[in-house]
Amino acid sequence: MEKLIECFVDAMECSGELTKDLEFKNCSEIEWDSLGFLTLVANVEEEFGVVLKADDIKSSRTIEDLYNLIMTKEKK
Amino acid sequence: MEIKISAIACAIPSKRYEISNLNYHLLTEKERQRFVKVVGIENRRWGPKNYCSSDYCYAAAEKILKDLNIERQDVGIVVYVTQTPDYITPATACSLQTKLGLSNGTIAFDVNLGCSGFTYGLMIVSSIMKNLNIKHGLLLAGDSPSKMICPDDKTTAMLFSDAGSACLLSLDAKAKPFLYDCNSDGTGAGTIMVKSGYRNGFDPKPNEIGKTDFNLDLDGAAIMDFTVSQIPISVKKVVENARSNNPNLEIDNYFFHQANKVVNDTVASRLGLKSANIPSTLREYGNTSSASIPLTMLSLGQEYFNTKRNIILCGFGVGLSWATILAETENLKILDLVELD
Repeated sequence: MEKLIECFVDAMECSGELTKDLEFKNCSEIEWDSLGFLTLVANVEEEFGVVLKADDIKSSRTIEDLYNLIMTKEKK
Repeated sequence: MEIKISAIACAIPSKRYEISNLNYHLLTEKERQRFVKVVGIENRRWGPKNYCSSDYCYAAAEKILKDLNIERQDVGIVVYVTQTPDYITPATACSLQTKLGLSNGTIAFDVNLGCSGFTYGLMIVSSIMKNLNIKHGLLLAGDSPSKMICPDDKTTAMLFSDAGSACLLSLDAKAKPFLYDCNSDGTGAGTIMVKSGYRNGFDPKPNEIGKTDFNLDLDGAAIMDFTVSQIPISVKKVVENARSNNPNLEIDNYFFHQANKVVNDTVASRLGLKSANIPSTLREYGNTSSASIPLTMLSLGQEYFNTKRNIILCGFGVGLSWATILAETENLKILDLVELD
């Protein structure tokens, strides 16, 4: 989970502490935009070897939701 | 007889038409810095309004014909790959045939493709030349994105440059055949689109930021999905196909279409490639559409191509459409970049 949070911090260039329950598309800590999306996909690919789709991000509410999805994809 | 890539030339607007994304008026300083870091595009060149992409391609083609003393009657085909033709009809390739002083026996037509257009064009021109035994052929590929982009549309304004390329292909007894993988997927037609045309009509009405249906729409997230999932498959397919005949084959460099740094880095990571093997011209020129692969080849200079090279070329984008080619080059002539003032 820490690795994914680091992916977020780097992609969004945010300084605040992020937690797994954070609703990342709708919060004041993160300015969610297309550059953030691209960087997050790149970071997750590098860290986990998993390619996230735009739909994966749409269907995830919290950072933990996304983490669980990555873990499912990683197993495949 | 097979076909070889004999020469490459490119033309772009001169330095005085360079625009720095670090000054883009609609972003904050922090946003600009982040854009350049993630997307990798610092500068772009938007040429003067009276220049069409065919002018850049014409200048590049003239440079090849003059510098290499090519007999114009030996050029039997000219294909112009563009999304910014001079007219809706007729095909600009016919005007280019006349401007370049090529004979009336020349096959000339346009191809409506963008970022996949150079590799698609190589497949088209080389196949026809081989079939009809044509000595020389010209593949001209280029766009003037400055004509189809709304300068106040943050999602597209900072990405593209105007550019044109010319590639001379020639019959050659010793050349190795190209290996191809060409694809299309119309389900993604709306991902990169200019809506105007005979289906939707030609509505000139601008929206609140001055954008019209003549301007380009891009869905960045969908393009990332497409590129990162499809491009590694296509490249792997061509390399594996080549290695089934020649297991020791080494690829010297991978020339990817120059779209976006983070996208290309992710594709490279999926393929397990080192960034040193993937030349880039993004920082200086941004996305030059179908001219991006020849422009990036040119950026390595003549010395690089003095040695025999096995190179992968991969174009991908609007359509959706994507094509990978493996080419062996020998004595490929790289001509100096032409800058039009």
